[in-house]
Amino acid sequence: MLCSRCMQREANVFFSKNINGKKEEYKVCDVCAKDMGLLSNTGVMVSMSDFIGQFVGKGIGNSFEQTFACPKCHTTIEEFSKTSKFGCGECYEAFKNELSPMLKRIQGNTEHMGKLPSRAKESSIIKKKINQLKAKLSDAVEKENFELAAKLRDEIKELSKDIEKE
Amino acid sequence: MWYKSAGNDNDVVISTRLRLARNFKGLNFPGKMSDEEADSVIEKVKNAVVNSGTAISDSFKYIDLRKASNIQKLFFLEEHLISSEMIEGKGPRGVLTGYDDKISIMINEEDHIRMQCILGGYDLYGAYDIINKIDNIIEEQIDYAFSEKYGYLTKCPTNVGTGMRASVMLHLPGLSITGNISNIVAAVNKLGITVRGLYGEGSQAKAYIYQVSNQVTLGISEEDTLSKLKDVVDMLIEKEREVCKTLYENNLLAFKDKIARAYGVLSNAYVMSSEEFMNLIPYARMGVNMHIIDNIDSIMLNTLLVELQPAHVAMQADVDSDLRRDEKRAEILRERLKGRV
Repeated sequence: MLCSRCMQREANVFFSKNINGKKEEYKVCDVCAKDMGLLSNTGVMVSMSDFIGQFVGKGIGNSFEQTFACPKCHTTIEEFSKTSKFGCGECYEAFKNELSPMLKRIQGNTEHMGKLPSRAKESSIIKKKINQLKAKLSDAVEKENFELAAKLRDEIKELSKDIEKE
Repeated sequence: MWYKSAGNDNDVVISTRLRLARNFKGLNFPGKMSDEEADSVIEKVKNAVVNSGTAISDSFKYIDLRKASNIQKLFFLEEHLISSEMIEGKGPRGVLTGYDDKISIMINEEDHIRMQCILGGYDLYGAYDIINKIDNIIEEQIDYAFSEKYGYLTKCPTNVGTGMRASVMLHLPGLSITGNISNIVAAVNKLGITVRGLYGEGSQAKAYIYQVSNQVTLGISEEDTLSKLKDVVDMLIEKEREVCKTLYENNLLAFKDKIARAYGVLSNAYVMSSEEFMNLIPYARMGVNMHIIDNIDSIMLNTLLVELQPAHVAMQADVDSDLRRDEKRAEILRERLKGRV
């Protein structure tokens, strides 16, 4: 579905406003939503009162709903906050602002450290190795094993060069 | 059948399960895709496994859960081949089972693929080796949804990263009867380990059977997850054995009496409800472990725990009334425990 404002990009912010009984619906892209003051620059939803202030003044009996949705599967943010389930892999990118604090709470971490698919890019494999070495490094520093720490630091440096080359 | 083979530490550990969650790249998750897409997921996974040309690929068979009866679905649940989510689910979905039913690959459950290896007794690394191989086989044909940052992408963020849930099913009558279990559960939870009842999320601990599994799937490798879980399970096994030993030594006559009475009812009753069976089986377990009961072993107990569940009894006896089922259950028990015929 295309944005009703610019008619160019995919619409992923849905909202309706109800002014004195007359309901108007909007389906716009996130760029237009930012233009309209619906989304802040970081993609976080502007609070309702701010939005009403900008849009319709302080009219009594006005209300509106707004929804941010994943551009691929159209899962809305309400749906996600109700079920904690995503609709597709793209949701991880679309809802990354909401996801980050949630992952910290339920997982305690935000970065993958495990198995990589065999089709993973060379650079992902090196990055994984670097992360593992970094974990070993902080362990070595904690145990005051500076000889090992120096060796690990050099290894990390070498590997980082390989990534830059790619 | 996983429960028919002896495993390590099977006086306390009933089974070990390793599950990996995977999804197709570029396709909406189950619940957000069309029936045609769901059908194509099934075909692709089936082909990837069955046509892999590996030693075990011939052993797999596909069960279409849309065509299965309620009793069949419950039967698969009791065998731990499918989840309760698969029973209630809608749309095209099914399960591939193979390697003597030790491997089950659920298709279109919460994620496109949920592959599991279940082994009798305690064998975290053995189960991981097997399921990791299956993962590699499937991956040769299918592009997974994967992100460098988040790892394997799953419908629920509680599984993202490794997508791995390692789960050990423990029988802990000693720790439960003495009331030690609640403190242990609270302590273990702080270590990122979850303790749940027999059928997973939200289910009650029946017969003092617990599933102990890793909670965290992101920011930790598979190897570290397994070794962390192993530490906790090792500790639980040791504590359970200690408590049973103490119970036996301090309380010999009363303890023996309680066990012998429970065994007497189990092996001689003519009507046995599932509930009564579940209440008595912990005493039989302690009896076997303490050598008070010596004509059956742990494999028999673990087999009974699976085969005396409602759908299993109903399938064997071809009965659907509760009373007939309870009669059948008692009959099986008398026969297996060599009681009154």
